Amino acid sequence: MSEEDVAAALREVLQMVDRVPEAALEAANAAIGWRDLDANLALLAAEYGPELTHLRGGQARLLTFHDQRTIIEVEVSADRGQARLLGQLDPPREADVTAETAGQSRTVRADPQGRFSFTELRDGWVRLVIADADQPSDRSVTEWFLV
Amino acid sequence: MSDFDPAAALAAAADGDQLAWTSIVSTYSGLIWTVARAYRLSAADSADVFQGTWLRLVEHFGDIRDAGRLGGWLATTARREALQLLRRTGRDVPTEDMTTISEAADGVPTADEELLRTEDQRTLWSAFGQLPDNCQRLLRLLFAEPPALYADISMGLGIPLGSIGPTRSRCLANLEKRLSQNDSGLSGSKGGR
Repeated sequence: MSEEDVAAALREVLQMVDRVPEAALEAANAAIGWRDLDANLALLAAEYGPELTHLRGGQARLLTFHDQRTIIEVEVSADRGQARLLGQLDPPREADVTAETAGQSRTVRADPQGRFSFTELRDGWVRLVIADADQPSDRSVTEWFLV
Repeated sequence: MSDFDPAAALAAAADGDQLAWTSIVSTYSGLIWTVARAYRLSAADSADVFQGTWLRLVEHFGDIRDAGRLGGWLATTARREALQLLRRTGRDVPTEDMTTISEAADGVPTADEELLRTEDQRTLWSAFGQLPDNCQRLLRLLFAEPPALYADISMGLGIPLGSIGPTRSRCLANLEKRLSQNDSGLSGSKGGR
């Protein structure tokens, strides 16, 4: 059996085993719908895992995003199979914070100290959209992160 | 990939054109999926890496100045997401040094065997699972559907472009040797006659 015969047989096997699932392709095709040209993208500046954060729950991570005008700190932890986010806006201020995910979008109000939280988020990709109470059209959106 | 023009597709997709976007997804879906699979992520984790890679592209359309490098950008992004997921779940991150002869994998790869119809295919899959990890990773990407460019594969695995051809040969020879040791080759099926 030649190398190329083996290659041909392996190609056939791998194309069965590594076929892209239909659901993954559908989700990918829909990803263009998340284009948001009007918001400022807040980039992930730092991520600390459980070994550095000493947070409760073992699996907590601390993410820091920022754009020109704001810093968004988010602690992600697991809570009975679902995700919990605790966030802080800097500078502190009241704002509408929306957690966008493939299945659902939920909005909470950050308090005057800039604190906000989400509970019972499903595992998957999430991003946060911040709309300040006094300037709702000037939005920040974080990069996507996995919870 | 013949009539796919990355520059035109990227420009149109950045303007929100769904058809152009779908053409990008179809062209690179095999590459991105096999990068995730090559790092032995579960189906669910692979789906997260796959989706995350596309979300990153939508998020960062403006950052890609050279559309000719779109495949490389996607492959690099998928690899980074895959490695991050491995780190986060506390699993070993593989060495990217293709010249290192890594330990043969301990047994058969993920449970996809039920997809394989014939004894020959199962024999081949089992032999594939005994190849060194770097071989398994490279061969998965090389046989992605639709096929990927060597340049993009090199980005997806973090290996030098020039190593791909020689490694491909060496890994296929290794596989062939295992098959001929197992048995008289793919055509001689064991039992079940």
